[in-house]
Amino acid sequence: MSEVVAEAPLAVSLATSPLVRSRRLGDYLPRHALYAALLGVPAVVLAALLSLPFPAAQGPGFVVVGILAAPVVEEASKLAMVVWMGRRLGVQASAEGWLVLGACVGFGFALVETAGYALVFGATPAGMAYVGLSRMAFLPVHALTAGLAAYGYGTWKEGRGAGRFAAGVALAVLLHGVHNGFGFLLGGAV
Amino acid sequence: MRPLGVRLVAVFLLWLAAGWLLLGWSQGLAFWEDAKRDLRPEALTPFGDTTPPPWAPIGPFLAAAVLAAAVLVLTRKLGGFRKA
Repeated sequence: MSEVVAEAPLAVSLATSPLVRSRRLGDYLPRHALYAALLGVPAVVLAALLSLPFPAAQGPGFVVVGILAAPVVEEASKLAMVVWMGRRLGVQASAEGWLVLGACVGFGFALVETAGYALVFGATPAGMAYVGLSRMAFLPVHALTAGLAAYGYGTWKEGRGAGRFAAGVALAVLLHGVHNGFGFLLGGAV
Repeated sequence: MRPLGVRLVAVFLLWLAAGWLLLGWSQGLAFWEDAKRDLRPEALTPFGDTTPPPWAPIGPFLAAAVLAAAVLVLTRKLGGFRKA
């Protein structure tokens, strides 16, 4: 199977690989992917609730929240949806399948978050469009980090040790924090 | 990690690198200045100052370079684009 996947274009691989299966959704990856992306919505709600102890700050506090608190809270929220798929929905997947599902949760999360930022930070419809479109460039941050954390979860489910799970989550939080840190190099104007 | 996962991660990293490059490039254009007028002040002033810091132009290009380097390391170390 891996030979087939290696030589097929990425989109074809994603559409045809029997990487995941569940009682409810069968073994059709796009169906699982769509479901995972929809879970981005409750993930944003959960992240908003978990962020309540960290109100928006100015100056150094803004950096602390953005680099430390926000990555931890957001990665935990996305991972909660991935774990929910595994435990409550009974999804069975390879570690790589979990990477894909995690990335889908991350994309859903990023789309909802971007829509929220556009509404909050755009003073005019043009400003909202600017925020929404410019943040399209950064959608993969959430997909990448959620995918890495979910990959760790997948390796743990395969019985390859909790260390890989912890490493996946830690790497996701670190990458997220570094990305946000780059944003602060711009004075926060991302 | 098998090839599909490696390729997926590489695509994400390249997308981000392109995004950061685009942002760095757009900052030098007039529409960045125009867009600021359409944003609420709190979107631009986390440090309480509307003037970008002097190091601001470095950020996007640094980010793009780091991400591009990550793709190179990923593909070389894990053999992500080699035929199985």
